[in-house]
Amino acid sequence: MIPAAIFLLLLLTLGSMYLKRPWITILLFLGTLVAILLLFAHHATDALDISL
Amino acid sequence: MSDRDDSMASAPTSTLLWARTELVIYHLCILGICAVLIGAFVVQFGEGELPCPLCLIQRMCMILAALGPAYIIIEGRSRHAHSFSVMGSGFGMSILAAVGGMAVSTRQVLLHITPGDPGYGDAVLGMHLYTWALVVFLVVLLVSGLAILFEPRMELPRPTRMRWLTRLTIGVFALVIAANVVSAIVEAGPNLFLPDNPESYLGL
Repeated sequence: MIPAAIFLLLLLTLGSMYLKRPWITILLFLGTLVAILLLFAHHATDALDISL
Repeated sequence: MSDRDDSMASAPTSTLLWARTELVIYHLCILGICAVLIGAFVVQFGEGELPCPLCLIQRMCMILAALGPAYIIIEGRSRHAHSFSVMGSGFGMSILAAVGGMAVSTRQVLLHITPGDPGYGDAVLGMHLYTWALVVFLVVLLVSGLAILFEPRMELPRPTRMRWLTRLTIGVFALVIAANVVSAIVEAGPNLFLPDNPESYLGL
């Protein structure tokens, strides 16, 4: 569900570009980037059997 | 009429021609990434290879990288001037996404780099998909760097529009993202995360 939610967030970021409020797009972009990096960290640490 | 519109009206033909050429290049960047993602779907459904969690994260980073040119194209249609550079923001997005994507694809390359390791999935044109992803992210970095290097003003004349091409490009891009939403739901099913080596669609 989390990967699907992140893809949905990407679609939302694309849609937000039509709102003419650049700061909303930039905030959504940064939020999505952080979510992707956290998902990556989860899988990376899970495979190594360590926790952050 | 704003100062920027005045400058647009008085811009020389060569400037407008260059702006339109740039706009076409940004559309092609998005369509190129869409082609890579559609290729990943062909491998997923045509050859029955399920994407692993790292593969999905690389797809996310590719979409994130394509959001940069999409931002420039969509904001370039606006008549309003911003207090910051639209092109700077767009390329910043692409560079951040490409750096994140490179970290993920490099990790997956290193996971399978030992001699004798067959790698994850079948090779396409001699390289595995995660190696191709690394190449795509390097190209995104290269294109963004060159675009910044050769665009001293970092601003398109406003408004710069190519309506049918933009509609087509953003439409295809949105469809590709939506297809990834559905694919991720079907693959993960009710689970929060994907298993490390998915063998079946858990949502079917």
